[in-house]
Amino acid sequence: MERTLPNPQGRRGFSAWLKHWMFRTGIDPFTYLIRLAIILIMVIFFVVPLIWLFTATTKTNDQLIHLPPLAIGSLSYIKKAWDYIMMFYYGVAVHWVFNSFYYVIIGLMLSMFTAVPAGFALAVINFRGRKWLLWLTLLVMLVPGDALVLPMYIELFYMKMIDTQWALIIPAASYPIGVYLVFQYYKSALPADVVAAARVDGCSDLQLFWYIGLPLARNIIGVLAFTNFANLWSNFFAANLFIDNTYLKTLPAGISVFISNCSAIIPGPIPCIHSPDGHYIGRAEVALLGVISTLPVLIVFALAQRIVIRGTTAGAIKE
Amino acid sequence: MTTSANVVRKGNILERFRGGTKGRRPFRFNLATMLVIPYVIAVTLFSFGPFVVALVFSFSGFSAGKPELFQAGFKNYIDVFSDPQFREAYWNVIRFSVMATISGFIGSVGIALVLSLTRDRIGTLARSIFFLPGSINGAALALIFIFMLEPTVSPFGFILRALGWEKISDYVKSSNAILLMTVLRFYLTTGGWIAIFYSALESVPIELVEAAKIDGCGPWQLSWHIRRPVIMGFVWFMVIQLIAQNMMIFGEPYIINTALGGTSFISPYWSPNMLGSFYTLRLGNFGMSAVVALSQVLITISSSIFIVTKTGAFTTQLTD
Repeated sequence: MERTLPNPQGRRGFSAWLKHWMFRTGIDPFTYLIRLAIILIMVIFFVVPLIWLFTATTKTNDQLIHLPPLAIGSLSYIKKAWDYIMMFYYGVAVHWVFNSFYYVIIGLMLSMFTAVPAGFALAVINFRGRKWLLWLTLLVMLVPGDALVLPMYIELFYMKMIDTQWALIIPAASYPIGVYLVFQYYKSALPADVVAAARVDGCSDLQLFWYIGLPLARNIIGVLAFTNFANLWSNFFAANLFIDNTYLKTLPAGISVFISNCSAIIPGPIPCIHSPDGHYIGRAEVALLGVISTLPVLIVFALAQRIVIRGTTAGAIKE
Repeated sequence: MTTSANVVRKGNILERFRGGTKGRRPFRFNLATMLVIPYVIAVTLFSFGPFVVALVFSFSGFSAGKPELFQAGFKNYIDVFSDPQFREAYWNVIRFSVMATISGFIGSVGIALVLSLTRDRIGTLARSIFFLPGSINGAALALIFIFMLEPTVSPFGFILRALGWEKISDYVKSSNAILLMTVLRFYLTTGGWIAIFYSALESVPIELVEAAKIDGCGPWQLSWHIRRPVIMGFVWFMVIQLIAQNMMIFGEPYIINTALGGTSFISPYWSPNMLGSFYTLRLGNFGMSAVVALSQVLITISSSIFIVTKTGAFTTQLTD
């Protein structure tokens, strides 16, 4: 009978590898497997719905039911679904996309215009009322914006701004979290001796901001742009309440109009659109609008991790 | 009677006006204040302004569409607090906030600690993936959520069908709306916090970890006793933020209600913000809507004061 001899070299090799692996990871294989299982479950939980949303745009209503949930239907259907969406209210979806970008970009510029100088002044310049302003900024920034939307409606109503694009743009100028982030950034990134040296050289406060503060602000502007872009883009409550005109709505608010008119989620007796080929707006079209409304922030989020790290680690001396 | 002390005090006032007293900064127009003026105007108009407006309108009545300031007394308060829909809305969001905050707390802290058990590429990749759901806006998220609950199209449909649910109305009912909204909020918020905590946990000094290992700490003990305290400052901040955000919920229940129409498990007045917008848009009653908003602001201001006073997180910057 043939017997295989144990391979002491191999066994020693495995145990040495295991010991080395445990030393490297700091945990035993059992704990590692538990960690892996938890990560896997959470990845499925977080990612599968997103993948489904993207694949749903490639399927017809029938395919959504009969094909496997994560299967891709036909990429050409995305174009068809978009054409069907364009039949709704004479292509109002294009207005929603444009409005979203327009409001967000102008709002972002406005918020930078107020937040960067104010954060700089709070961090660097010792003016009367500075401490009060800082305290008030802290208090206000911890009140979620949605808590103030209802009274802001009343305010904007009497300012005659309701149902105009300004209702969503002008309030973006108040960005206390941004001011606090800029304040913190300059506190850590701008050393006191740089400020003192500039003052000795005769720099006024405004020159200090223009020649030292602004050039340094590139990183923090990146951080603010990323965080505020997501906030402004996703703003649903205010967009829904302040704007009634269908053509002035943002994309997230437009989705609400779309689904309430089309019975697209739960098919109703009167579908909003019958195309010449007999198709009616359904789940794939709604999913496509969902993807379009998610994509810009998703891209910003994917890029943002690096920007945030760069913004928080970069400083005057290192540069 | 004019005493010498009064004369001295008057003199001091004049000195101050002229800007000559020691120990006090003289008043002068600093051009640097121009840097804060745009922000001060904006924050006054759109952060403090709405609060003042809410306060004024909560005591005001309306006649022929025009406000009669401070004419209503406490009528708006009485009307709102006696409205059963207001009580129901608050009861909904309080239960929802408790569940969503506890699950968010356990989920984000627990998973961040599990991720940080060791440092490898899997952890970094998972952190990036968990970060993504935060990019979905409320409207799109509510849509995804409805689809996920529909057994015929959901990728989790095989589980739902195995449980005997063939269509959404078989198990999605108003009685479990809070549980379903909790799952939805967990999906939206937890990933972002996991990413933040995990990044903070990576900053734990390796020497500290090695010292604890030499003292006999296992991986789980390391997580709980060494790494967890590092993120507790963030965690309390998250808890307060979550409570505030959950109390303000509007978008997701609104979209679900709109999408499902008559079959919706969410009522049109499910949360205080939904009820407040109903008072504003449908009833045109700014007074009652102002009372709802004030109740929300009161809760969030209390949270803010709690953070600032209890955690002391901002004291160092303010005392600089």
